[in-house]
Amino acid sequence: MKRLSASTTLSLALSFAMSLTVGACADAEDDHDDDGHDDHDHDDHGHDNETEVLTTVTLTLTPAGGGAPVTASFRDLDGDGSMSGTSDPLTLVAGTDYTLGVSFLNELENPPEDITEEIEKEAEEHQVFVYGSAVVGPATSNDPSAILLHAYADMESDYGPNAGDDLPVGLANTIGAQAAGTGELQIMLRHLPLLNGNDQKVAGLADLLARGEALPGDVDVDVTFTVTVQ
Amino acid sequence: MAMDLAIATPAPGADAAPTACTIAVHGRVVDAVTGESVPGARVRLGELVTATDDDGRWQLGALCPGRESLRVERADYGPSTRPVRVTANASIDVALEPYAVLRIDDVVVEAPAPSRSEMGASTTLDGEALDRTRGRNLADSMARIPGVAVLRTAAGGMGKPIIRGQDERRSLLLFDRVRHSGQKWGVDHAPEIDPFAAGSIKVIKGVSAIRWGPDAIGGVMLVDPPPLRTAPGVAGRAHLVGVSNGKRGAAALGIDGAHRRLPGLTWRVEGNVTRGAAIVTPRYPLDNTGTRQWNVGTTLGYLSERFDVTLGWRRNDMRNGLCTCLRNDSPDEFEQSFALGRPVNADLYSREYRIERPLQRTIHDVGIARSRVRLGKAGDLTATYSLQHNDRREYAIVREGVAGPQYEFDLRTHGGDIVFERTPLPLGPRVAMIGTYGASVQHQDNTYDANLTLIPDYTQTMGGVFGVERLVADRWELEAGARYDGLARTADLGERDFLSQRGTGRLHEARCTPTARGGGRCSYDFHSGSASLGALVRPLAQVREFEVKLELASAGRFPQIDEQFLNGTAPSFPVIGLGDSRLGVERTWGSSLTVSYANEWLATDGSAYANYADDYIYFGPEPSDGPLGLNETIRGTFPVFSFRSVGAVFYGGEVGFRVAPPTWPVEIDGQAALVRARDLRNAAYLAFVPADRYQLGLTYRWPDAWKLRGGFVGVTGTFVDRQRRFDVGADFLAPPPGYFQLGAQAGVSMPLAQQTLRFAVVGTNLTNARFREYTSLLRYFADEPGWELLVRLSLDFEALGPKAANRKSS
Repeated sequence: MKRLSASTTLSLALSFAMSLTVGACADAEDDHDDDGHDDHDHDDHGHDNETEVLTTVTLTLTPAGGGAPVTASFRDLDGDGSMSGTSDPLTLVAGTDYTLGVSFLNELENPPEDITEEIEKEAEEHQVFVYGSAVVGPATSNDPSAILLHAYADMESDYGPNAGDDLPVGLANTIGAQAAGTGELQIMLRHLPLLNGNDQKVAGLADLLARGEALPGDVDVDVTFTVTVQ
Repeated sequence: MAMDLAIATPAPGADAAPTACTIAVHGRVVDAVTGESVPGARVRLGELVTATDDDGRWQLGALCPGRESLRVERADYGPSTRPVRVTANASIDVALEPYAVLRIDDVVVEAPAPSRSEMGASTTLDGEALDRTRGRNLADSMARIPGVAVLRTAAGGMGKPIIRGQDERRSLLLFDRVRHSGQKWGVDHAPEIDPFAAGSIKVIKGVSAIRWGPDAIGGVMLVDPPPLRTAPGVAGRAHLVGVSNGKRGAAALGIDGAHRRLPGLTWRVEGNVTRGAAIVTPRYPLDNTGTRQWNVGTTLGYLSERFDVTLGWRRNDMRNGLCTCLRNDSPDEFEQSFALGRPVNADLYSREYRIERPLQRTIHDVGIARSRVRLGKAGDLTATYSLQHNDRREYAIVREGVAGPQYEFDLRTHGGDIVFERTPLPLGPRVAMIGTYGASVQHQDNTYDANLTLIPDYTQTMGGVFGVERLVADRWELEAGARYDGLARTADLGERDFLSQRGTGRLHEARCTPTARGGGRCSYDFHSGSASLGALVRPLAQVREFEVKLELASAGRFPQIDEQFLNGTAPSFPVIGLGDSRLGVERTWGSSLTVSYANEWLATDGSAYANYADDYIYFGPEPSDGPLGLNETIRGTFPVFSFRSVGAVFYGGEVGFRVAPPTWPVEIDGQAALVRARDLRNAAYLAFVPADRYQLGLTYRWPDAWKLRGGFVGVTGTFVDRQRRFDVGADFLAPPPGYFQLGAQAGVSMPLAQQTLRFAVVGTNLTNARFREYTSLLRYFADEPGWELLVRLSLDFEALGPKAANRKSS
């Protein structure tokens, strides 16, 4: 009889622990696998893991009245390694309006991968901000001495069907070279993915940046060009 | 070292029990280590209380038949509680494990048997004290020990232990006496060890490189599984833990068995699962800090007088979400985010279980084969082979269409150890020499896979030999030890990494050969000797518990892979981090003085130390006007931090006490820990040194009633000062203000036949105080967790075994 009570207790103890283990596992099902890669295969030490690597930002400024486009690039070909990246100087003509196209490349791949297409596809989760000491526009404080006037020239709906607010993306812009001088032109690309189902890309982000306040999302690009208006 | 959980019952044949209250029980209480009698211990059987005499003997009469709980306690020993079936006159002997020093809150500070005592300060959590940490992660379990703090990561509430200001870079973590091998250089990489698998956690503070190897500068953490079962039968333990904050739950089960017909054959099977949602601060949840972890393990052993063989395997599988609040943006963004006082969009933060990018996923497997052979009169030889595989994958926030991890680390470690413990050599009537000698070898193969450079692939082989001799007399002991270690490392730098590191002149090019793919293969070897001298004195012949210990040590440490070759952005810190492959061996000169005293009502100890490191490898900022000072990346301008050697001094101390008069139901405990660290070469403070910490606790132990045994309720107040000693240039923000935390705990156990059911409630941060911790990576982005309540139900069960106990006499 003693033996019986001992084994009964053991099975009770087991079911006590197991029932809760099962409970925990059932609970685990609400965890969705966002990586789709949960089998954890140990043999795939290859080079299949993709990273959000961006190495190159290219600005293409086309005079509105026609003429040869001006281009300038920032390149950091060692990624986040110890070598600093560099940007080309940019020279514009005073009194000229330009269209500004911004493109992004990953030149670590061969051939280089054009990330701009991916950003167009996810226009509702990305925004380019144009700011810096040379710029007056949505993302800067209203400095009358700024030599460049920036305005957005695209909307999310330009790149595909759009839900919710139709906000600027910043892959296409207009730049007016207002006065001669030298200053800094900064280009920031923010990734603003949904946060728990809520939009992080909302109206007024450029205004926040202008006021020097913290913005949501992650900085994918933040590069500086020296611009001279002659 | 685990508590003796043997169940004592009176002599068999008790079925013809008398029914009147006339039973007399007597016994003797001895020290489990020395076998000497323990006078003045309080013995309580049911409602009756007595104390042991000078020979450790006690007796109680006029007992009624029935089940009772026998509790034996003295301040300087671990209390022993066991169920007893009173049926007939009997004798019950109890062996108490000495703590020799103190219990602080749940913490047991131990100075074990003289021959095993550390010459520095050490603390062991085991038995009841360890059980009270069940449900916490490993770092938090150890953080109750004075001198241990936690480097909190942003992933799933995990953390890394810091001993005397040194994180895992200079502290060694051993599971089952095998060096845990993960990507421990990463500040956000928590150790992949199952806290439920621990039967004891011992923290040896101070330079302990002789016995444990070159990284043991701050200290050593020994996480040991409980001893395998020897008595035939099956027993086990189960824990259920629920935590309000993060809606965390854990269930753990472990079963041990020893075969009845094949004496010596023993086994263990254990497993547990933990699941948690996002942790909540007083004002907002820490979005995406859910955790999912499971562990399984099994051990098979054959134990005999002449030799033991054990084979074991364990797997730890963790998936931890990183707080959405964590940003790796430029310093401007970083400061704007901090100025806001709370994470951007914190009102959208969720407290769900779902784990999304960014997240870390690790799988750690460890297999251990060990044999111990008794070589006749010569001594004991223990040989161990271990294989570890650490697979770490980190997932960043990416655009759609990018699948899989962004960083993969894969580390395989083979380890071999041989330790010979010589039989004590008598040199005189009360003097003996005790010697331990050993050799170890470790081979590691690490691959790193990502599109961004960080660390290179590498293989390395490390080997060491050591010897320690100790002269043991009644009132004093002297110890001397020496060790040699060598390391050969070959790093395989990819083309981009190689060109980039060569371009900044940080590569020791003479040691590199070009590879076919445009990279470089760089080979280094390091050699280092370590030595130590220790003395222990018991100044008063009558008071053996009064001990003074002095230790002097010198130890070398090899640069780690990131210290040599880091080339990338540091996690959760807006810097570009660079290694320096020209760095050499770091040498530390350490000293410590430990004083401990215990009597029937007071236990106290204190330790002071000072360590000087001549070529201390330190991660600090490059001058911003220098050639490397600022780095233009595509994500903005980042300051550059690099590893360089400085002259560093660390000093400080810990003190702890417990007052528990045998006749009082109340006990008071307290502790304090201080660390100071200076960079002597640049006359600056070192960063990330834990701030001063003070703790005071009050516990009331209520009398046993009905079936409830060992009940207690207590409150604990902890004050952590602001770190006032910091270098503005080495950090991005000034240290956060000091804070006070109120905690409370209560517990009770209930013996049920062969089982013991224990119930505990632990409250943390009960005032729901908002605070930030200087040693937490979260402090730049968000507050630390708010209030929480932990409820734990534990069951120790004994089944399928002999009813009678294995420790009895009559």
